[in-house]
Amino acid sequence: MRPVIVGTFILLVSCAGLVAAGCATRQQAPSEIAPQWRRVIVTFRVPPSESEDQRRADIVAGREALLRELASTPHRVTRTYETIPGVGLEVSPEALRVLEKSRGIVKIDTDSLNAPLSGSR
Amino acid sequence: MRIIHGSRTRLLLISMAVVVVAVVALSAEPAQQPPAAAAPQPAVAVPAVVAEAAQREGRARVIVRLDVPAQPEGGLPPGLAQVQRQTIGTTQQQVMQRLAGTGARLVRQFETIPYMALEVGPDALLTLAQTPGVLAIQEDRLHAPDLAESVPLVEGDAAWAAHYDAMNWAVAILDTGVEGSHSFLAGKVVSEACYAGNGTCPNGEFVQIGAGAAVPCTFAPVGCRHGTHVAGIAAGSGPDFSGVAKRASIVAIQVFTRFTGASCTRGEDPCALAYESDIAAGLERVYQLRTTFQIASANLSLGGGLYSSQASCDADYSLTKMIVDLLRSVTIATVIASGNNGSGTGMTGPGCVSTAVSVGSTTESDTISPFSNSTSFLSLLAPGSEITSSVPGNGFETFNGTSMATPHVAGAWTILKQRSPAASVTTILTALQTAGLPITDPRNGVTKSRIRILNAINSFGPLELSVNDPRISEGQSGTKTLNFTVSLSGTRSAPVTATYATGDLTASGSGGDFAPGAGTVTIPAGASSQTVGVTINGDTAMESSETFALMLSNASGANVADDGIATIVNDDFTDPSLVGVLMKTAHITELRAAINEARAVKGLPAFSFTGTLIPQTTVVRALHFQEMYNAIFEAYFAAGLTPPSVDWPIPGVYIRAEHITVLRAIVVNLP
Repeated sequence: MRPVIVGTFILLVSCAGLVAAGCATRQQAPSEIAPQWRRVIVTFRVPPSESEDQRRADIVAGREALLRELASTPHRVTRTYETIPGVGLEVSPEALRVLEKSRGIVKIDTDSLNAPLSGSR
Repeated sequence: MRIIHGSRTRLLLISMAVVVVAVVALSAEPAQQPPAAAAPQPAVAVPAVVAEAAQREGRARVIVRLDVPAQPEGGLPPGLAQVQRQTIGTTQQQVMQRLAGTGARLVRQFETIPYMALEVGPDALLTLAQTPGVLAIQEDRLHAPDLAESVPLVEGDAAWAAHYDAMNWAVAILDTGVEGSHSFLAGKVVSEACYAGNGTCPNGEFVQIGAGAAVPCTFAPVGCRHGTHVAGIAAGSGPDFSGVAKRASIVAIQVFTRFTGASCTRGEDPCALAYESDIAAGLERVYQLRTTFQIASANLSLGGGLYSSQASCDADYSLTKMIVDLLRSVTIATVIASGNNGSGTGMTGPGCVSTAVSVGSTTESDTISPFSNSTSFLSLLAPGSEITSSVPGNGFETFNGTSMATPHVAGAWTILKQRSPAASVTTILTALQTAGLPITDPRNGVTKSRIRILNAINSFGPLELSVNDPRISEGQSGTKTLNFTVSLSGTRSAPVTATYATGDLTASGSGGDFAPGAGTVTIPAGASSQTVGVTINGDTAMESSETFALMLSNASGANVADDGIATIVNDDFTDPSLVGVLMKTAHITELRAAINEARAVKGLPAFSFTGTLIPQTTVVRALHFQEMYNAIFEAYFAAGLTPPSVDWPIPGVYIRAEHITVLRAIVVNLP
């Protein structure tokens, strides 16, 4: 009985910590990449544009500028977009530090995982 | 954004403590100790229908609710969720041990909810009612399959009968792939793509576009059936029953990736999970295809996490929200499942995104499905319990989940877009909400609408026919064809017909201005307009511009809203320098058009009016002119130009080309 209680207490404590950090919200992506690397979605700034063509050009320019900043750090581009100013990345700790200091970045999010929402009878 | 308020934290901790106590209690009672040795428990009630069935037939199917204080897993940390599952499993084992020797048969065991299904005889039923850990016994009711019930429930069949079945429209299914060769989906998949973040597209790459790209994934045999099931609900078509939008096409996009190990928490390893970045890429694909196909909605029967506020959800799913907003700007809805955590306060992402259309699940008896998430910001409800639909291998299976509710709405969306192609996401969502059946969730008191498609269609009113008001230069000889366009305010899957006839106004058919005509105009199924041509006879007589009508009557499938009035613009002048322009109104844009029409008649190049016309309110002068056109001349002076030194009125002169050149003068017809 005692090991069960102790184990559960540890679970409670760890969850209480996780609750403070938001464990009940976004599902974290697992680490199927290099240790300590993170899979993220980065949204970056683009200037207001009057036409869709201009916006697409600005998105390309913004992405290229972002990737230039990362050029000397280990990272991998996982997904790019034509119509939205975002890019999917796998980043090393060094690359993440560069991103966090970048002025062109709006936000860095975990590339969250989503599951099918059904079960068979 | 991710901080949970203190009260909720306390509640969660209390719940955890309850589970801990339960675990401790269970641990104190080793599994090998026969449950029969426990203190006698008061018998739980046995429904009469169950007892009668057991007596009559010797067996009865029951659902047993276990006395385990379970919480929805989505609100629990993974470790505690595992403890809860163990508690449920242990209790199920104890019940079966207690029933040993009674002939009871375990029919279904649930991992995440404290229930089990049994087949029991009369003796086993009595034992079951006395077994510790049993909280309630209820009938395991029979349900007929499933789309055959749920589609009529949402008025899908009634919409088909009214000739709305999503003909010429498409729904995008972002899922685990779609078996396009399935008999239920034959010929429906019109576009395929795959975005799999770990390189598990059929070609082994991260991206694949084209035929074969969105076949069902194979790395997770259970999870990979999901997309074909969802597609069947939205748009399947069969001889006995069909999906909601039975004539819709499918844009299939595979967004799931192969995972193994700790990532797979739902009993299957390897499993299928989707990165948000891949989902966004799939949605961007929908946006890019919007000019190739008439896509009404994108279906996302997936999710993760749990959010109790849209603000925090929008912040966490900012990329997804951007693409959802982009799709919404071109009137494509992103329809997303609310999740299966059984929560009355939270919703999974990205269904919680504020500009998405979120869908919760109901049962066939119009109650909230126990597993369905529901919040104040849920958009809609649809059937998601016990839904039989297509699965790979040309088969059919029954699934539960908000995954199943969501394609009911995505399919309904294509039908409503067929009715009103230009309608915005807000317009259709409002129609579905206001026309739906209100259902209150007893967990939170929140009332939302279970969709009723025909009711929503009817909220738009009947389809309407209208005819445009065309103009044509008369010509000096021979004939021309003037085309009226008869337009329908939407489309449907059956022709719309009306009889038409021309009618004299100032132009005369019998007088030779045009060839009188009558007949039937038919707008084909799926189309929204048709033309009716009328022959115009040219002449050289100097006369006013003239009008005649095209009138509709005896419409079938629509109401007549507006007849058409055609104008035959006079182009005959004794003085070759004269330009006649007759207008019914004097809006500045029409004045500009009229001037250039007049100049075209005279073979003069068109003006570019950019910045040259002063506003109509600053008309410099006007005069009555009676001789020829019974018209008022209004002179519009170009900004910055000095009015010429002509004498106004100009006796006997209408409007001369040179005046237009200088003055931008036009003629406005009076009624």
